[in-house]
Amino acid sequence: MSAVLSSNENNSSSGSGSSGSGSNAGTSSDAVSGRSSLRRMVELLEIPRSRLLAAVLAAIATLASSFALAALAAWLVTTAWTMPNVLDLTVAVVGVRALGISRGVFRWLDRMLTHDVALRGVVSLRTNLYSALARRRGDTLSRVRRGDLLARLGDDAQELGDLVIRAIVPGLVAVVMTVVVVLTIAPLSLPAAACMLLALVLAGVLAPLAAHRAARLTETAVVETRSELTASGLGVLDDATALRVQGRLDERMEELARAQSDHDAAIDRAALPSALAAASIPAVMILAVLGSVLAAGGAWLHGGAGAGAIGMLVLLPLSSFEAVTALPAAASQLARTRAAAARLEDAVGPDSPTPGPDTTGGTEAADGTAVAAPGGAGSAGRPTTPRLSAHGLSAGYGRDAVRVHDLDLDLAPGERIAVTGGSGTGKTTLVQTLAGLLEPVAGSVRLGGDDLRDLPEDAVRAQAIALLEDAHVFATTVHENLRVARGDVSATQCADALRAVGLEDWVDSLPRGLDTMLGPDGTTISGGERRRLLLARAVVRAAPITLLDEPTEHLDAARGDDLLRRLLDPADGSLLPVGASALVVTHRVEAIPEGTTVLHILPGGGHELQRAEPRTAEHGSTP
Amino acid sequence: MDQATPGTGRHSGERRPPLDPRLLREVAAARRHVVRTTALGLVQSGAVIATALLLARLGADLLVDRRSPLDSPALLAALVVALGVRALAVLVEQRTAHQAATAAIADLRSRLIGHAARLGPRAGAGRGADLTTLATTGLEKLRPYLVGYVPQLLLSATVTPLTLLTILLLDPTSAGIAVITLPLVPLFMILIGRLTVGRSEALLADTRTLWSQMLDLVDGLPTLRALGRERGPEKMVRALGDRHRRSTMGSLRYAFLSSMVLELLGTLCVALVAVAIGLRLVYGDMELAPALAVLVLIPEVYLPLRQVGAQFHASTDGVAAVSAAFDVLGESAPADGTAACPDLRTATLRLDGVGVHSRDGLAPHDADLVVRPGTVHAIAGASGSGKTTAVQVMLGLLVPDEGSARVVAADGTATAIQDLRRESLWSQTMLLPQRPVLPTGSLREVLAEAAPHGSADQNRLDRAARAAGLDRVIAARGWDAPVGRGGSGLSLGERQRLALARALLAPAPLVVLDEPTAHLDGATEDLVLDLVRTLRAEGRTVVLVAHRSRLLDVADEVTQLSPMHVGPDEAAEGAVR
Repeated sequence: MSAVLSSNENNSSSGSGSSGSGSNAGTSSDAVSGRSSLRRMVELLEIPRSRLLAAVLAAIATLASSFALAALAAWLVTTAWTMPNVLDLTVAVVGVRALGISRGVFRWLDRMLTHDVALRGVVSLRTNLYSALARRRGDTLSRVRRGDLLARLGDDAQELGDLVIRAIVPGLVAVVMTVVVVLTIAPLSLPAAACMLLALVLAGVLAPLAAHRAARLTETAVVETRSELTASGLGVLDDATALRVQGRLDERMEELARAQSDHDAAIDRAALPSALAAASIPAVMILAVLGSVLAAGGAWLHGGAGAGAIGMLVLLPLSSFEAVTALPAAASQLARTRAAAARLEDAVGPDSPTPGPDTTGGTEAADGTAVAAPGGAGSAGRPTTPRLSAHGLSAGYGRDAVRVHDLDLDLAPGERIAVTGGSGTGKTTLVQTLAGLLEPVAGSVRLGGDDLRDLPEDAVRAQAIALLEDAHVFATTVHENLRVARGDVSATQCADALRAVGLEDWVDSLPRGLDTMLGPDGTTISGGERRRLLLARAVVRAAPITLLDEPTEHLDAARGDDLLRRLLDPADGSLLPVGASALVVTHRVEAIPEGTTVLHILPGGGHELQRAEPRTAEHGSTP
Repeated sequence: MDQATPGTGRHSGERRPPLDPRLLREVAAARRHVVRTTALGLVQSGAVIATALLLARLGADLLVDRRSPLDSPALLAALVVALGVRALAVLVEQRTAHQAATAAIADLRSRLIGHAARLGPRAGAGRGADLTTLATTGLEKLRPYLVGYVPQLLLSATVTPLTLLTILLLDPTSAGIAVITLPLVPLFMILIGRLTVGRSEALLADTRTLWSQMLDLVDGLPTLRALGRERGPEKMVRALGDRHRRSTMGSLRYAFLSSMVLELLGTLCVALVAVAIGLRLVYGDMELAPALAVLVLIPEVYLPLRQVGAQFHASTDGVAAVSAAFDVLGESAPADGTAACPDLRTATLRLDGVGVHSRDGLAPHDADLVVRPGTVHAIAGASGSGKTTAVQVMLGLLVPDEGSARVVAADGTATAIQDLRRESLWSQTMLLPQRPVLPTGSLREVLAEAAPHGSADQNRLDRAARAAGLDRVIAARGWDAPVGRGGSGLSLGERQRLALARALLAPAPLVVLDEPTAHLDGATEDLVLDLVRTLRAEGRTVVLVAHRSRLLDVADEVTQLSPMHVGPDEAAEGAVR
């Protein structure tokens, strides 16, 4: 496979070949990162050699059929002209008829096998990309826009599949067919074979080079001018009403026309190389035809060749270029795929440990409804709760956006802490950092005395989980949505957890109870129900340490305050087990039970640690 | 690529001609492209036929007369010329095809966007994302169509018949074989089309399902990570992908039958002709020269057809894009009126029983509202109740489906808004949409542009900037800070303030503010309320679209709008109208 790739990039004179280092800084030059990211993405396709070989063989059989048909037909016709015994021609006649049929059949097989191997590759690639995304540490995942991510997993992954169909298979076939053609002609006449080889090599180099250049120019034009054009066009469509009322539509249409002509000029630069690629094959055919015809003259008049051989020499050059005609398309596909691979690498981040088949046991995805599988974490035998502590911790999205400064915090085993503060003070950021989902800007978070950065993520997650405000409710059943937190949770445990958070009436009202589908095509849930469903995840998981972000928002005060009290009371085992620690972000200061440690975050990034004051009359007022 | 990618809706139900006549009629670049390609197709046909005849002549001379090709330099030269002309024709054809595609796309895009903008909000609402997709990526599908498909289509209309004619003159028997096998191509295509009908729709539906499930898993990834459960779903991703692969391969199995049939008939015809010629040569029933020429020509009969088949997807996508574009261009924009708008400083705007069809009913429904000059009028209602639509009716951007919209001059003469020359209404109006629409330039230019000519002295600019809370932005960045298209370089709140300052500077007697506090925090909300009061004090009429209570408090009059929802059946009837 790599042989094809390098044969298609003959323009690069560098002989350095394989650059061993897999990881490269994002700042390295385009060409370099493009090449290595392409290699990495092609590896992620995990194409089995045997399937690829089968596809290539079928494709070779297809092209060889028509080449053999042309050769045999030429031999048959010119030999027939010498009026031999008809019986001498029988084999050729049968052969010609058989070849007339075989090409179509092999073509079908070739298309099927090639697409199958490409589609399998895309499935593997998507799976591997997903794993790579899942493995990405820090905040990177939340920074990639959702639409971008889907474009990467969709169209860009597809470009890698197209590389198999349009470049890898045709490239290998072209190499083999060049050998086949030259070896067929060589016994008839060596000079003719030499001319043919020269012509094929020229066609196989010049045309792809020109096509590659055209594709690169187009890609550049798209990158440089398409976005301006698109933005300009969308701007007019989005703001049409206001622009008309303000009388500025024409002005903006002129702006659009300017963007369009910039784009046109950029993209038209690709027209000439692209046309040269198309014309170069008929052009080099002149060489092959002329060489063959002249060689045929010599062979017939002086070399004692048979009429059949002469017929083949004269007629074959026209039928010998089919395989190389696919190469320009292969080269432009290579350019497109390289760009896609660079974008993919950008999305999933620099090289991470080689993905392999995941060995964590888990329930099989039954009928495609299971969301999460492994049941390892959160199993019944509970380890002792470790201590979670922050030391001189500054949390934020990057150095310029520190939200919480220099925090020392100690979440002792079994302790419950409430976090309060105005909106936008960075409470969520703090939860993410304490959970190890976000790198600390300064200081450290420790779990049982070890810095989170030194612990494997699995080990951290076995002890501490975070339930964030914007957590996702999957478009699957209620039961599956709880299994997200713990793979082995039973229906009874689910029912218990839902009762604990006060959702039993809601579940009873659902058409199929726990097996009701939620999400876009099923039952949609209200904000308050969603909150409690997320809380139920924490309940079924019963992790040693649970970090909760606004678990009672969107709930009416009575219900919410009751849940909050049960979460924060270390002696209440109805939601989180006694002995488990929890940190709960809330804005309901008045509902925090007295004696609870409260971390109050101030707008400037400062904070104060206090104990909740005993409250008076208000406490009894909520039933 | 034969696999359907998500997001590309392909309407495979309708039959469309492979070359849309509207494209040829309306787009000069496409018309010239077709004429030029046809001419070059004829040149290529000539080159192909000449190559075959010359090669056959040279071969026959050599074998029959034992004359070396070197003894016929004229024939050799002619052969080189024929092959060279073919290469040149391909070069010119491809070069111009790319340029024609670029020109045609540019032409259609500017017409489409310009027309859609003039069609008004209804056209946008009806098509929304489809229209923007068409105007941006959809039209780009014209390139493979015009560069790849159309030339092959035209070649199959020139090369195929001309080579067939030449074969007929050389050897009627071979032409007979070709003529018998050729009609099998469309026959089998129709049969295979029958076989695959419904399969591509099913595949498309399957693709959409896969995609929404995939989306769900991607969206849930941060959640799963926070729970330490991110390493199960990749199995799910693979399972989904495998299911999709199986269904894709299932439909490709039939789709590839068509290419198999094309190849099969092409090579079978070559084989039959070769055998037929061979057998006649054995018995001396035929000359060698025409035999060789026919053998060279017979694959060329099928070549353009095979290429057309290979470019099938380029054709369906291209034809669909062209057809969708002309469907939009075919809609007529609401006509402009002729009456001049009365002076809005004294005239009253009235909506009586106005209803506008929405996706599931009427929004607004039965809206009555009277905007008296010099007052602040708030339009309130839940989201989806048609507040913005009511404003659009009031400004003549939409013609209501029910009821009437009129402007009543100070002397009591009422004119329907749709009869007004829109420009005369709009020049008296300052509209601030939810997302501020700003011209480009420096902060100073953007502000000064709103004021009438010559009146924008620094004093006025300062005052307006202060009133809109823009002074802090100016202090931080200076008057010359650039404002990009769509207000880039500024935050949404800053853009909103800039737009408000412009409203203050503009002389328009009618100011329409659509959710002016949507992107502002509480403190700046006060500023907007003050600004509305300032506008009223200047004697201007203010229409507020709002659902926040504090905005409603400054209004002199509040109109509550409500939509009417109907069931799907009734909605369908409503849509038929």
